[in-house]
Amino acid sequence: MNKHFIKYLGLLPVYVLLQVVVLNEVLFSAYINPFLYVILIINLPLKTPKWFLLIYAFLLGFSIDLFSGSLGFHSTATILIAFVKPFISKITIPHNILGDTDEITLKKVGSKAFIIFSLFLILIHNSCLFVAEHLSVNLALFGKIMASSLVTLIIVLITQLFQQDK
Amino acid sequence: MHNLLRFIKINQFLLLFLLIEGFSVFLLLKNNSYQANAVIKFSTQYTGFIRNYMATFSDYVDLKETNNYLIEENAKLHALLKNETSFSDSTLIRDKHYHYYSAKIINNSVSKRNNFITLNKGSRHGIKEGMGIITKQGVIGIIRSVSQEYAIAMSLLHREFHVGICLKKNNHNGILKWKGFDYKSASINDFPNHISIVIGDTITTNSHSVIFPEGVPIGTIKNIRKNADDGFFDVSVSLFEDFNQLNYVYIIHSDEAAEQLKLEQKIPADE
Repeated sequence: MNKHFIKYLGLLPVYVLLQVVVLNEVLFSAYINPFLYVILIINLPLKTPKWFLLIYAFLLGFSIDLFSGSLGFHSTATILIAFVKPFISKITIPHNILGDTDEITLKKVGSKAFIIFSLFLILIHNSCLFVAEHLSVNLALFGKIMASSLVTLIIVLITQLFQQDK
Repeated sequence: MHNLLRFIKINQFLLLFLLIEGFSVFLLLKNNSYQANAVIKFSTQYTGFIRNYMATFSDYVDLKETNNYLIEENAKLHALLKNETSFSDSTLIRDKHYHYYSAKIINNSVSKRNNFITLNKGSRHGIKEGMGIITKQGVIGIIRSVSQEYAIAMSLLHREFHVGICLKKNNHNGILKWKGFDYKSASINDFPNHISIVIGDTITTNSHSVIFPEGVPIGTIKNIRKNADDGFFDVSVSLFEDFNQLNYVYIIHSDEAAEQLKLEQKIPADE
């Protein structure tokens, strides 16, 4: 488990920089802003201590917030998906596939389960983030949530292709 | 006491979640406060350094565009200089005297509801909170937080940003706001529907602002819709400035503005 702590704390600055320097700068359209950093929450092993999961999510969201000039938006959304992750995994990932220290990756859980699991988390993350930002619910916002979620999912799947076998 | 401890132990995940999530939501709601500003100001020293480093790469790529931009601006300034000398009468009603500082944008966003801009000038260069940012073709934002080397500005693409504008042809005043999503257009909702406006009319800043000079071009009217409910037009304006391609901007500041503000504040709001 300690190995995973160190690995994920090391990956945090890498993904934060990737997010703020590359993904936030590339404007696909006014409706699409992919948030790749949620992959860290998705990948964390199921049996990660709960306190680590929540505090890690806060650190991740807060780091992104610091770069974006307004506090609280990304951390709120990220902590929320960290909280719902155990429940979502129960209904989407078949039992007994994962060992205690296995990370949740495409190869480990199979593509169908992984896609549904990630899509749930990404949708919750994006909905929370965009609703907090816009403080209203309308069709354009719904379109933005859907478009951003799909593009985020595609980028998440691409990163999974590069995961090495162990 | 024993029961309480047991309750905490059973629900520790939920309680920790509520605690951290509560703190996050608190940060979110307190975004305009002094404390939040202090955090942002502190972190800008470091995030700004990283941004500045990254910006040096994109500088080379943008050199050609920047050159064109400067040539156009030079031409405009030459024209302005000529007009200034030939109409010496206009100096009688001189504009407020503005200081210009040049600055480079090292971070910018357009896809969020509330967008911010990071600039590479800070308190060391004389930048203060509340100064305005313009380019030759539009109002960009207002400085909100300043560290020693960097400044963060609220972009025009922000919920709380409004700027006083007027129709160039008949000086009718209004307020421009951004409604989100499309960074190429903004809207005006307080033109009464008896005034004559047509698609293509030019919008500039008006003379009421203590931050922006009069007559900064902003955009042209793209779409007009009569709002039957309140007797005002819903006007959408297509902005001249492409916020996604901003590079160099001017930070402006007028000494007379402070005096005007002081004088206006002497009059109680209820009179």
